[in-house]
Amino acid sequence: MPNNVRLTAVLLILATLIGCGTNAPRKLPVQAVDDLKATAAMHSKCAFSVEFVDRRTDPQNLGVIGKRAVIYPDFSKWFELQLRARLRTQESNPKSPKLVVELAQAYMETNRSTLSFNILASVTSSVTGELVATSPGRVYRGATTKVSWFGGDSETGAFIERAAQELLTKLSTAEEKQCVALDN
Amino acid sequence: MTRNLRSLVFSLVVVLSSVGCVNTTPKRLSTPEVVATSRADTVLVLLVQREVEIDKPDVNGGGGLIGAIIEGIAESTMDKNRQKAIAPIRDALVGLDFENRYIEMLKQTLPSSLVREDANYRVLRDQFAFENALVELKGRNGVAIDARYAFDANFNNLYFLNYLRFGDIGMVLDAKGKPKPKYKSDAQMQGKVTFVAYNSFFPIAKFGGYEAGAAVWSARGGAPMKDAFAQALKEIGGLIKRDFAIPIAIPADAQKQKVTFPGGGSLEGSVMETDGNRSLVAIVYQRIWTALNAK
Repeated sequence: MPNNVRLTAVLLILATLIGCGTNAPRKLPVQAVDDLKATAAMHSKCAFSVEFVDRRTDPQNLGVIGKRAVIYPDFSKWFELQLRARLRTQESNPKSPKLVVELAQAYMETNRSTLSFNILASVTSSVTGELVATSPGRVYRGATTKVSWFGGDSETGAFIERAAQELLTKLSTAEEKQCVALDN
Repeated sequence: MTRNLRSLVFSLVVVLSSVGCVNTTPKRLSTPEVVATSRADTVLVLLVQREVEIDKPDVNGGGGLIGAIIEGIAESTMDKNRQKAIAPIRDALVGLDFENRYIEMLKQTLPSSLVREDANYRVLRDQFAFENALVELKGRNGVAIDARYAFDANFNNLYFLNYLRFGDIGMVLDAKGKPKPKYKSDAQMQGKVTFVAYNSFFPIAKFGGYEAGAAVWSARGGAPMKDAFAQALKEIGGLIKRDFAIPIAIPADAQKQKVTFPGGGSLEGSVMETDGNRSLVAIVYQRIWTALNAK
């Protein structure tokens, strides 16, 4: 048996045993989730004023892996930072279009060998101080579903990063289009 | 790697039903005798934080390491496609406060003769927290509910599962400090604990694939889904209210109906009543609102 196959087999068995050993919540360390890449070219051309609201029923909980809860108390703060880094925010300018971004869901779920992370936000906006919302707002989703190979914190964090990246790309692209259309 | 709640609930209800097929009495364990001072002061609801789910595909890769890798890759692709297909339904349900509506339904339906009016309703997000909360009951009467709503893996049904326990349902710690059930067998539970599974199924008409089905359920801002949620809460609430007020009596000449479960397998039960195009079927410890002649 080639070494890499043997190593994979051992890792799979270990991961299975670790997964079955306890139902205790799994708390992700802060460093498990990295900041997303946000280059100047990725920034929105419109300058927004952003209000962020976390609407999740349990802000510490990120769903479950198997039967174990995933706890990441820093998620709300982390997501807001990534959002502001992605959008060109200009809070001081009263003429900046205002976006109210509500985080509705962020959760893991598992099958036997796969892991999914879903993140969902709805956005309402205003131009002159009055909300031009369509209930329940424009909805943006990011999702990652892949095989979970070794189940480490950094691998779990990468699921969160990929899903958040997808959501923020959709959100910034769509909101910028809307902003540009309103400007014209 | 680990079994999910769906598997657990289905296994429980199928096993319990199988037991019941051999020994047809009792149809449900008798409700414990409760006096005012021993009414339940805690209602525990296990409701994992997530959106409406679609059950995971079960792929058999043939065993061995290569089989496991094939399973992993196939499951990953199938699961990804399924999640993508139901995204429009999930998006339409943003803002629907199912959790609070569910708790309100319980408050309105759990009988005050068994549950205190000022009972503490707690939503638990995972099995660990749920079991620890059961240990904290320390012999007091309580109510515990495993609740789940999802589409089955083949997108044939939207279903709501509610496995309800009442009485001295607490857990105790074993020598290693891990929670274990206080009572295990039906005989031990008799007169102390009662349990029953309340299910509501909503079959999906076939429109040609996942995306088409998802489009139907997410139409008009998800109105068909919201209607199904409302109807399921009404049906399940009605069953809880009735079940704890009057013992279920199934006439000997009740019409039989086979019920196919979303997770696979089927069992025959007794039709208790029909309402429009739906029928209420009792299978030992389960009360299932399903479609008439559902297959």
